[in-house]
Amino acid sequence: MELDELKAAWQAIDVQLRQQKLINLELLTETRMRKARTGLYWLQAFAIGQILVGLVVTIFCARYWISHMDAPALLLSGIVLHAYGVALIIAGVMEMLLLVRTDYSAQIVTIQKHLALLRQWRIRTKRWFGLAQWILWIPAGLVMLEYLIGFDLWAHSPATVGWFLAVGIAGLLSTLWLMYWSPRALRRRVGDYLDDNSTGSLLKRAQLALDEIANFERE
Amino acid sequence: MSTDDRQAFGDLLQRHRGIVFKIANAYARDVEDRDDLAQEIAVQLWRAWPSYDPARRFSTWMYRIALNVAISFLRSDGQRRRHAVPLDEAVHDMADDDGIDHETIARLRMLHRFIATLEPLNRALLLLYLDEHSTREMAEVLGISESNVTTKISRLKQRIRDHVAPPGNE
Repeated sequence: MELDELKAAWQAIDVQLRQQKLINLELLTETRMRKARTGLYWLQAFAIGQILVGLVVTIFCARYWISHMDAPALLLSGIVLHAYGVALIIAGVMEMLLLVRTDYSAQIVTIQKHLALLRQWRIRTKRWFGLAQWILWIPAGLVMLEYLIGFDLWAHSPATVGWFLAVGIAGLLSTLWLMYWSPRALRRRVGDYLDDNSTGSLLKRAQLALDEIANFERE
Repeated sequence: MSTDDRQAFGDLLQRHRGIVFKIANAYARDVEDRDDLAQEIAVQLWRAWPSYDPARRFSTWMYRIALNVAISFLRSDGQRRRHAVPLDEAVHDMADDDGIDHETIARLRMLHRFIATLEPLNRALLLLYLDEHSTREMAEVLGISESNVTTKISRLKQRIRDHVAPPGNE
């Protein structure tokens, strides 16, 4: 059977649609629109919130580490948190781009490539933000203790900070092992409890989509 | 959006709702998915409506948005299977109606099964081809060259021949 023979059958759907209402697009009411709009506003508000938090963290930490040049542990903690604040801002801006700049009336290959790249970026960011928490709580704790009650933990007990660091590194390595090197069955089970991100399948899917688009663009 | 605008949009959407129906069928896994996708397409059309240029063909504009939404819909849900068999209910619905003969229904079922085997972008190309868009229009909607469209269409023709060929005849 030839594809052109199937065209006639396909055209029959159009004829049929004039008589039937298989999809009730009249559901497209004001309520539905308001719901869609509200959902988008919340996502945008979340991204704006993330940018604002990033700005506050960046400004606070920049001022903090500049005024603690004489205390290496606090200086380093401030710089690490400063970098985290900048990363929050970048991630928030990218999220906004994903939400606002997605013009579905653009050419399909263009917009799908844009979406696949952003999706891939978003998954990676989410993963690295998650992993960073294992370590970030230590500089955050050091800075907060010193800023709020004037207590420099590193100066009083570097061993405690060393223990914190050991716990953080152990947690980080265990998570990395679970994500990349653990037996596949265990990884799948963990993935069921957490989400697909932890097993990397979403990332693989985003890469597959990019490969598929590149292949489609080639003659 | 003014009441007139809303009315104009509603009229055009109703007139071209076949596009939404066909795309939702080609990309959805089950009835629930199909309705969700159709609604999502309609919402995105409505959002893009203020930037619609009346000098352009409404159906082509609608195709671009609907296909983009459908492909994104298929890819965004972690639980959604990428090459799941699309629903056949639409064809079953038609079987209850006297307007379409059995041979056409059989062909439509076969066509739906074939569509299910295609990657999302090739599905988009096939839908545009079946709706008799010109090579130029297809290239414009998809964002690839006209010669690439021609090459891909001939490959699709070969694939459908292989798809319908009985085992052992290949």
